[in-house]
Amino acid sequence: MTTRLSDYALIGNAHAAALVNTSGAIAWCCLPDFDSPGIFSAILDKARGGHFSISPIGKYSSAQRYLPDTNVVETVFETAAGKARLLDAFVAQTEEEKKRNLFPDHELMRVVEGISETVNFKLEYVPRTYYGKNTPHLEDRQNFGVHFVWKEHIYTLLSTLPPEQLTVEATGKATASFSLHPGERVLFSFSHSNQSPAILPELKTTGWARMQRTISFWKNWIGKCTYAGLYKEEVRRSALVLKLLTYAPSGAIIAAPTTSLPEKPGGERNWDYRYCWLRDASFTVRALLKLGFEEETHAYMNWIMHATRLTRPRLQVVYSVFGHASLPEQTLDWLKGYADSSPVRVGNGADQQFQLDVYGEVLDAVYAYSPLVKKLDRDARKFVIGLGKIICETWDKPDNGIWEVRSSAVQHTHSMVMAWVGLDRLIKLTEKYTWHDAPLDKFRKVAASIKYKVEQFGYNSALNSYTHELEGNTLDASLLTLSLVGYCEPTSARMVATTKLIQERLTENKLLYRYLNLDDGLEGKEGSFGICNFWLIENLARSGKLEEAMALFENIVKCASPTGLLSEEIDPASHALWGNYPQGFTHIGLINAAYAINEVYQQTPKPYAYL
Amino acid sequence: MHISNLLLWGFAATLILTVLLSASRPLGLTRMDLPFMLGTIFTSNRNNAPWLGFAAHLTMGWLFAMIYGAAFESAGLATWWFGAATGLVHGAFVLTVGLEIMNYIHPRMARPYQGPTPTRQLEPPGYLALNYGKGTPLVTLLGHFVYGAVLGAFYS
Repeated sequence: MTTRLSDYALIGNAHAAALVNTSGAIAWCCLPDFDSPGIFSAILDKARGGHFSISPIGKYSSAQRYLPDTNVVETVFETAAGKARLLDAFVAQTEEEKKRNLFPDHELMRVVEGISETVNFKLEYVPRTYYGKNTPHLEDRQNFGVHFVWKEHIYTLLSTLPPEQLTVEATGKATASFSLHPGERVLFSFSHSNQSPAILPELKTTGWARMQRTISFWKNWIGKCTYAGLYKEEVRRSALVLKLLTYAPSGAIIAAPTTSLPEKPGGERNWDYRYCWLRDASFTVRALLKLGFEEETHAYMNWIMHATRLTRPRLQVVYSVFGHASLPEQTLDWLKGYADSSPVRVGNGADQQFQLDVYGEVLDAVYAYSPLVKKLDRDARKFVIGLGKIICETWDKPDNGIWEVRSSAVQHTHSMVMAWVGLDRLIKLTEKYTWHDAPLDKFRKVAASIKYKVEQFGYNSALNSYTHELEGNTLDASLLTLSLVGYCEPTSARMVATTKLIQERLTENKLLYRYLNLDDGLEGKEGSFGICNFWLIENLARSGKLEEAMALFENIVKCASPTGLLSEEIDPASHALWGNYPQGFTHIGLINAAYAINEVYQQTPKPYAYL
Repeated sequence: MHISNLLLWGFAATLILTVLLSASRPLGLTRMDLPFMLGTIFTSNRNNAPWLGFAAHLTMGWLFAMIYGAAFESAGLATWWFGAATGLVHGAFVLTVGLEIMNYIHPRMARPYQGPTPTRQLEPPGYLALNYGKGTPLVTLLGHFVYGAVLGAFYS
């Protein structure tokens, strides 16, 4: 039986991530980077993918949570005999601590602790390289652990168990059994180095201290969060998720740490999300700023400036964490896929698409970021003015739209509005910084033309709503962002009508689809789209329907995993989580919606959500 | 001895040796990172270890150039092939004795019969440094072969 996504929790170190489930199995882990090939990929194929599990022998029940204000996962197991807990985390250290000690590139630490009576455990360590394709040769190096190499990468499993207690099999599997009495503790460390001599972390004397330092690291980090309003816990958890999705060396934020978790189980809507979408830029920057994370905002904007260099002045939809522009898509035929959902894809074909809205997203992000910088440097100025010129050239061209529909390109109303947003922000930036080389008149003229066209053709009077495409008659939840990006007010007649109709027609069981009855060229129907629900909630809150907004917010939060994580989509019927997990965009939506609700709740509404 | 020649070509030969060892890592021939290994003798700071190690390697390259110079003078022979042959002996020494000694004098390297400790966490090289990849002996010999050949060819 397939483990539900809500039974997984995320751990990571802002370079790489892993998913650990309530059965104590690490079923997804890519090292050394988010988009590196999986070492444990059982989530995509239980038999072939590889896993690292620690669980009680025999029947047990288990519950998972994060230790408060940390990204350390605690799984408590209860058997007929007794109770024990498993702590999982990537070791996190401050830069000062790193100067004082040797540390491997990555260390995933697992600590098993007896709580009451005696609990017998079994361990299975089954790494598989390149997403389960190859079985590595495990070498038992006794005190130096169980070792294997793949290309330049060195992976080592160390433990505080006596070395003879671990059995290494020729089939690329290591097993062990051990018993824990109350208060006893056994530590395991799975580490990665990409150079020799590899660093082998010591466990017996210093291992537990590293876990405690990791707990302190996360508490100190989230302590910088300035948000203290409604739904504080949900917002802080979302911030911690975003930090795990941040790639520290470049400042990039990936969409999700997984690939091919299906938007519809058994279907073909399976994509690789371990990359960075510029679409998320504007909402991300604003969420980070609202929470008080200026350092992360600087890093993220620096990544945008750096990543887009290769394709300037044009922007691509998606980039790798290092700003690589080419992400060739391929399928991994040897994997069955999560819940038999194939194909499993790596890479992302969206890199070839044209999405007009990303220009607006990036310019809005720069505008939101501008209070943090006194002056934009020459290069940044040329870059943003260049984006404005591209908008002027392409604003009336068909594009693939925010949802990256692969079947056809049309003139999306949302994309056009984002083109208007881009020029609007550019005009404001030009005025703020008194740039003389920006063609302000042209920007104003084109912005006015876009607005005219959207109002004339993007609004269907018979339907009484903005529509998915110009002169169209279908709805699209991305239209809910029109008020959120300052194109119109949430209380304007057209926006209120659009919100009402979207809610009526795209909602099932109080959860919102991004679109329905729209040919996107793919088989099957997907679930409710996480962030769209939060856009609806913001609109409701800011148009005077606070109670309804809060009810919907609480409804969607109930769909989250017990650890507070949300995926890209939710099944309206079963409330099961679908799609890549956890998804940054959904958690960004949660933060912004909570902020909007709180603002209205505190009776300090601002004219626009984002201005 | 022509000290200025040895300083100049000792520097060049050490650079070439370092480049060869570094280039063989992405090629999958070895995982050994010599500057990192030498640098961690002096510091546990991973940011500082590579450049400290490179400086140490360069200094050692110069010192060994003096020994090569003495060998050239003593044999009355300074050709590329004599230098290369000396380099092979040097490489074999590094593999069999040098790295073995390193294991005991390196303050942060774990010892074969003692697991990682709080202060010793670096993986030991093992026999012929095979723990660092099967191609490590070959790359080490080749690197020192080239080092000796450069010194022999340009020493006059």
